[in-house]
Amino acid sequence: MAAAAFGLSSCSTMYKSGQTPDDVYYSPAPQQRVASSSNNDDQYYEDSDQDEYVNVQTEQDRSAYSSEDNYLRMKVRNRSLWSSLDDYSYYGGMYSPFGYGSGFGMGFGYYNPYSFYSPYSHYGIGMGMGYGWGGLYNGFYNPYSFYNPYYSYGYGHYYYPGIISGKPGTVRPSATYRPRTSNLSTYGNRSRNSEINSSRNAPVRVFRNNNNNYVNPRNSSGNTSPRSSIERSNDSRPSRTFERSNTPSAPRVSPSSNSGGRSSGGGGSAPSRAPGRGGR
Amino acid sequence: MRKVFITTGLVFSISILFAQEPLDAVRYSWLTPQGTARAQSIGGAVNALGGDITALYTNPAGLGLYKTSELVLTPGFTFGNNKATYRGSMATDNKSSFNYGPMGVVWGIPSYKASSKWKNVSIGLALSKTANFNNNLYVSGQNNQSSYSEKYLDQLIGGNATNPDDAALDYPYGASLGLNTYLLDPTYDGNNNLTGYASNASVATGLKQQQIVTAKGGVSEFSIGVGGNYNDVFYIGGSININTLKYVRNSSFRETDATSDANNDFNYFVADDYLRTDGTGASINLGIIFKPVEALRVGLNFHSPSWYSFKDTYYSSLTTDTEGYAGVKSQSSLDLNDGYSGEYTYRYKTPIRLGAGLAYIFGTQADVSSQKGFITADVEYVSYKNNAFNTQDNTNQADKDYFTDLNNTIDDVFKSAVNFRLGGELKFETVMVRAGFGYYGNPYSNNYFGNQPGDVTNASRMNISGGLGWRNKGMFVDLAYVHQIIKDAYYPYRLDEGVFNAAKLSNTIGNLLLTLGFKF
Repeated sequence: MAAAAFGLSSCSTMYKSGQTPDDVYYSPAPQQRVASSSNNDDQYYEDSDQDEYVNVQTEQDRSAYSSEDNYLRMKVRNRSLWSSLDDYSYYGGMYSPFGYGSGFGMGFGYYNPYSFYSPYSHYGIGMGMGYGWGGLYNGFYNPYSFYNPYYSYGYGHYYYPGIISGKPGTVRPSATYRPRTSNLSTYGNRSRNSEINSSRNAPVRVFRNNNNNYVNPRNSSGNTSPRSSIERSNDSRPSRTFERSNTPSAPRVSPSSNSGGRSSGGGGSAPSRAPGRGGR
Repeated sequence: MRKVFITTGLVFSISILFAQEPLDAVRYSWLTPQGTARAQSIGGAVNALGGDITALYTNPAGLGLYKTSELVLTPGFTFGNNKATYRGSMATDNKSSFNYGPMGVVWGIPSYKASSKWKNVSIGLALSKTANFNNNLYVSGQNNQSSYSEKYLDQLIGGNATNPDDAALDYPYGASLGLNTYLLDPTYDGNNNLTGYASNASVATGLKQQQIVTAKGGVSEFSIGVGGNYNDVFYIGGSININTLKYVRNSSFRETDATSDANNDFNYFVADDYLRTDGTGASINLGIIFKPVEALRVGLNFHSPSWYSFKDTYYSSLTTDTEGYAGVKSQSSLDLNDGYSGEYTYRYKTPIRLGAGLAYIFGTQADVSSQKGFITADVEYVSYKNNAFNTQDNTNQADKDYFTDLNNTIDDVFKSAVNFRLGGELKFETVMVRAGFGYYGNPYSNNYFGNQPGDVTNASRMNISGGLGWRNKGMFVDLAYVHQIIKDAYYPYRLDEGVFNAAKLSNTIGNLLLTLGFKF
């Protein structure tokens, strides 16, 4: 694109000073800026300081401009640029459909002020489109990029090198292929969100049923039936285990202190921190 | 009345803090339009104006006004300043990044038949950044009402985690980390029956809460479009857009004991979360422009949803210091998942946008010296309720149910908004002076804020812009500065019950854009 810009900057002198068309307001069609009143086409190129940009209100007979004429005009204008294209068949090839995807083809197309007079001009445009879509296909349309849940960017277990990797020889645990879920019940109007003035106790949540009554999780009552157990016998993952046979491992906060100390029903000093699980 | 959308009663056993949440939808849809420096400096109000490559991204009928051809390059630079007020405390952060507007080509192709009413057809293609997620946010405040760790408790109770041993493994992105680092403990009654769970965070004596969120990424949009000109009166156009999205977010939430007591079994915890979302999407834009008189243009446009396929990658870690209780403990979700991050692919759809515009041109002759300027205005309607997520794999009923609940929540907490844009240009033959304004309405309904909306309900984005242009010798150079003022709200965490607070955000973003163009 930078090369094309460079090429374009050199052809920008074709516009008369102060008369660069502005399509936001109104711009004349290109045919109105190529002819001089004397109908001497070559004058346009040989005398570039003259009025290249002339408003001619009469329609030009574009059929008079053959592709061969165009090429000869370009050569006259800048012999060095076009000298490599003296093989006329190559020139024709540049504008053929086989030129799709050729960046240089696009660049020359921009340079040619007659590109839209030529019956081949559509090929020039087609090239641009072909190039764009071709690139897109490679970059964006890989059907395996985002449709295969186990696709891993081709890095094996490495998703982002140096950051994440699975343990060698392990298979992705199925539990790691899950949507990021949020607690949607925290949205919507809340029945209370007023701050408490007295200091609150330690944060506790206890199991409750739909009637907001405490439910012993060991009993299959209410809506807190025991969840399906998962076999952990050979699990070596680093997690705590909680022994309850004699002394609870961490009975640091008891429900009684919770309900007593932070009941909002009594003095209103603190809202209950044991939410009803209605609907869940 | 609090609304709870649970279609099946199913509660996920895996749940994390950076969840698929309604806020994701706002991030991807509450966007201000990007464009060339010229379009940006007039507030982005180019719906009815046309003649600028930005038409690909707004009203493609504007391509039909091109009778000449041009190549456009638009590099840019963005610098943002964020101010977050959370529980009475204010914290600031900033972020700078490179940016770019449309880079592309428009070909104006005149009709071959002089007698044809279709005067010309124009084709454009461009690549542009249409969203910039680069941002740093710092939130800080004192809290004696709730702890971030109560999210973990909600997870455990909501997940009916009646076996603490299982719970220490089943919530690798949240509660399990809390249990294994001794931030959380199970609670028992006198008969050693499990009653619930408790956090050791010392809310009673106060907590200092801090969060740093670093976000990167954006949306790059490749667009190819065509516009036709019927008799210099009626213009019609369409474009096809391919979007690539990347969003990378690192969050670190720290909660520290506000006292100097070294014997209360809590010093601090730090919860780190990483999320990367990659996506590709496609959309179409359609539009018409009508000129009832030569100087007046009326534009209408339609933006289809962008249909995306997203892939998330995420992991979390937690470090807790419970002083004399268990000391400093640290664990990552990778430890609990054999080194694997969480991963998921799903679909997302942005809302439809409908727009209308008016433009009045002072000087519509081909002679540039007679072109004196223009004024232009747009209005746009978008319903953020119509954001929608869906599963990629329709066979997983549990996932489908979650996305149904998520979409219902989006419908409840977002609303429709009307956006306005206004701009103008004065042209002095080769030099142009421009100014513009844009206002983008509040996407949140009051339900987003619960019953204590306070002063954060009026979220908005306002763009004030200005610019200069020079056009001569077949080239044009445009410079724009857009000053964006954003009012928004951010919840560091949300809880089932009790007090949780929004941080009120007052952000400013400066955008500097340069457009280089070449006519050919």
